[in-house]
Amino acid sequence: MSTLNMSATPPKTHTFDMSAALDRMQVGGSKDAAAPVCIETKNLNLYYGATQALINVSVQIPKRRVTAFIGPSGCGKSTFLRCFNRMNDLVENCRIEGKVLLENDDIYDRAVKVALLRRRVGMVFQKPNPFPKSIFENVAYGLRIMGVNDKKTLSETVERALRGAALWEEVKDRLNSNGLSLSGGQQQRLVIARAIALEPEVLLLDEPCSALDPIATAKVEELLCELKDRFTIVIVTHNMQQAARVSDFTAFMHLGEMVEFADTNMLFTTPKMQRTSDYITGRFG
Amino acid sequence: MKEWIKSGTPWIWVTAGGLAVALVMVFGVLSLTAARGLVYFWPSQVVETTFVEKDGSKIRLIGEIKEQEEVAVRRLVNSGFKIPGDEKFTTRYLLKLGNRDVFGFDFKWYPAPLLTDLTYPKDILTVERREWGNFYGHLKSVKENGTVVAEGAAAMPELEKRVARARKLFDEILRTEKQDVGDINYVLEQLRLKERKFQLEGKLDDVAKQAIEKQREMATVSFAKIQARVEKLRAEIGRDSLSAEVMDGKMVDVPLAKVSEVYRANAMGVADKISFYFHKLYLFITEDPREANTEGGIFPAIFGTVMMVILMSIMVMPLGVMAAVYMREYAGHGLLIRIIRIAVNNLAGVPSIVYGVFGLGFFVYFLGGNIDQLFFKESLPAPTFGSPGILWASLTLAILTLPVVIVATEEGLSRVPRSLREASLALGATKAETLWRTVLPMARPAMMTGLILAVARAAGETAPLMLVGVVKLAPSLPLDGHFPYLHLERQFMHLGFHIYDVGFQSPNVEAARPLVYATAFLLVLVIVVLNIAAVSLRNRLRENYRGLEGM
Repeated sequence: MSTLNMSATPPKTHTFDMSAALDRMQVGGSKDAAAPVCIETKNLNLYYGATQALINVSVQIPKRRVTAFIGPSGCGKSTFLRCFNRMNDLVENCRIEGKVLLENDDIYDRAVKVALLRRRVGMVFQKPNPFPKSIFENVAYGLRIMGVNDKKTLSETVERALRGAALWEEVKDRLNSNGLSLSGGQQQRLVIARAIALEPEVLLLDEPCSALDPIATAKVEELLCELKDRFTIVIVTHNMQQAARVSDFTAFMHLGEMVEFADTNMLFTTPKMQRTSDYITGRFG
Repeated sequence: MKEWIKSGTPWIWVTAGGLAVALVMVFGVLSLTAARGLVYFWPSQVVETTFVEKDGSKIRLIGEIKEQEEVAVRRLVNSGFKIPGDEKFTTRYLLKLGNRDVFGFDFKWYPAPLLTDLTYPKDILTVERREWGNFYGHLKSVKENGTVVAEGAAAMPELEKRVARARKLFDEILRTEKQDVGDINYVLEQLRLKERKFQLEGKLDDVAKQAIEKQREMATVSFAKIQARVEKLRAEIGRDSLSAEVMDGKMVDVPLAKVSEVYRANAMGVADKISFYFHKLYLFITEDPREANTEGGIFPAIFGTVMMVILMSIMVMPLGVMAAVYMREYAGHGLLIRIIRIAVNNLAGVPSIVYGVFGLGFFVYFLGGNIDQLFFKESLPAPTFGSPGILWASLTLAILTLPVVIVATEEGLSRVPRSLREASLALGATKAETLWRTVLPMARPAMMTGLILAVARAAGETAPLMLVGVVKLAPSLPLDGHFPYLHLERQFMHLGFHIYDVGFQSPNVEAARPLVYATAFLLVLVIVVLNIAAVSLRNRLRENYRGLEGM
């Protein structure tokens, strides 16, 4: 983890993201005042059969900021993330109580069409999972699902998405080759391009760098900082340095509870809760 | 010793031994059928010899040595032969003497010590006839309308010329009878059905009657014309004959109309023999059978087999894939679905004849009978779909192979990584869209595997087919030029049944035996070709999904 590349990345990120950094300094603890709320959960309880995976989680995720979820394995951070685009619906015996509001709309309302919700809330998974199709078709997948078949619109959107994911220069000459032929880091950026091609409001990333080498990780992190001007980003990470580098806000979760949610600088420098400080100083987890 | 066992070396030997035995068996089967079957087309030498009969008289024999075996001398002596010398064992030869019409038998065993002066005279003529099997003899003359036109050395070239002419005429007669007469029969049959239909509907008034009658007259007139032409051709073809001396010295005339091939095997060089061999092989694959299937080709059987397999694939694939998709993607994991899955797996083990009985009872009699009642009333009581046919045979084999396709497809669906389904769903695709766009395309190689297994099983299946559509000799192919071109109600020929028929049901088993092997070899070849086609298709599909293994 402590390679040269890794340590070289944070300053770069900060120079790139100067305004956000300034923002953060000014905001301090009162984050709600600075950015409007994008996603809000109210007393969210989630059960897998008889076991409770999330306990009374209430949180307000600000718009167009990067919010990171950290915590030890099995603390429920991925489960929590998957509540935002209702991926947990796929799990049998999964039951949810409480509310999840996206722009003040309850996404667990009966009237909500899950497919439409998922267009608004994109997701990137732990392992790169491009389809066994061409690069072009990978990015165009969501559009085709929406019924877009116009060639010009497709190629324009695909190019924009690939540029947005900082992959265009690397693949523009081989859009027809299989997405699986790319390297791991490229695949992950392809997957991000695939998600942002739909212009979602929120981008959920579930440990997006855990299967990548440090150089690819640095690229993805850099990309996240570019993307946060346009999207609300929620990232689950195992890696506390990564959370510190890329996020504006950090939530620490433990055993299904939201222990602390604060400005990233504050959380890492002056945690309010004992458990948080134990975790970030490496006493457990 | 203990060390050696512990090292695992014995295991390697045992497993390798198993593989070796399996390989020997597979190649044994293939090489036996190939060797026994493929020599059939090689022109064999014709021997001329003198045989001492039991009563001491000597007769001349002309024929091909087909087999030889060791035999105890005592047995021969007991059955009346006088074997000179005092050896305990001797050889006997199986001679194919041909000329079944002259002598009444074709094959006979002769003890070797009683055969003297074995020679291979170059002028012995082998005549392959369309009736009565082979003919052997010394060519003496060629006749036209009973008068000799060539004799002695000039006879052979003249004969070849005239045989070629006769063959051409024969082909023309065959074509005329099959196509032109077939066309007219078709028209007449249609008219009859039309009339019957009007009659049933009560619309057969004088106008309709006259119209039909007029058309019928026209057909009859053109039929008479064709018949006249055929008569003329027949007269033409009956013009020539050959005259040859057979082994007992008699002169026998063979009309060239019945001759399909003449050659002097003893005078042929290797190059001649090779080209003759491939010519015969080609005829075997492309011609219709004759002489109760013991001679001629097997084209209708090849065609029927391939067509039935294709029809079966068209029926079993959508059905099997849909069933598998429902079971794997929608049905959940309840008790009922578990029972169904077990039942499907067990269906694969049901003996195929049971499917045949089911097909006959349900498809042919019930479904076919009702279809006839509803749609083909005019041709009753003659059944259309209510009798065995290629449609019912394919359907029967489709249910026979259904479990294989279901199991293979389910396997393939379960191997599509969860991450890809999630990726698709996370992009706003519904479950159905995910299925269509991601899951099913990725399961295609597995479906192809199912198809390969189904084809391999269906192509070789014989027992159920005997009940639901296969016949010894089908008058016409299930595909021809008459509307609607594909005649699903027709009976057809099948290589598997052909083997059984030629091997066990033919009047001349000795003569037909090489054909059994040749047909068996061809059946294996057809299955191999069908399989290779499916496997290469699957490999092309798999190519797209390389690199997915890690997911």
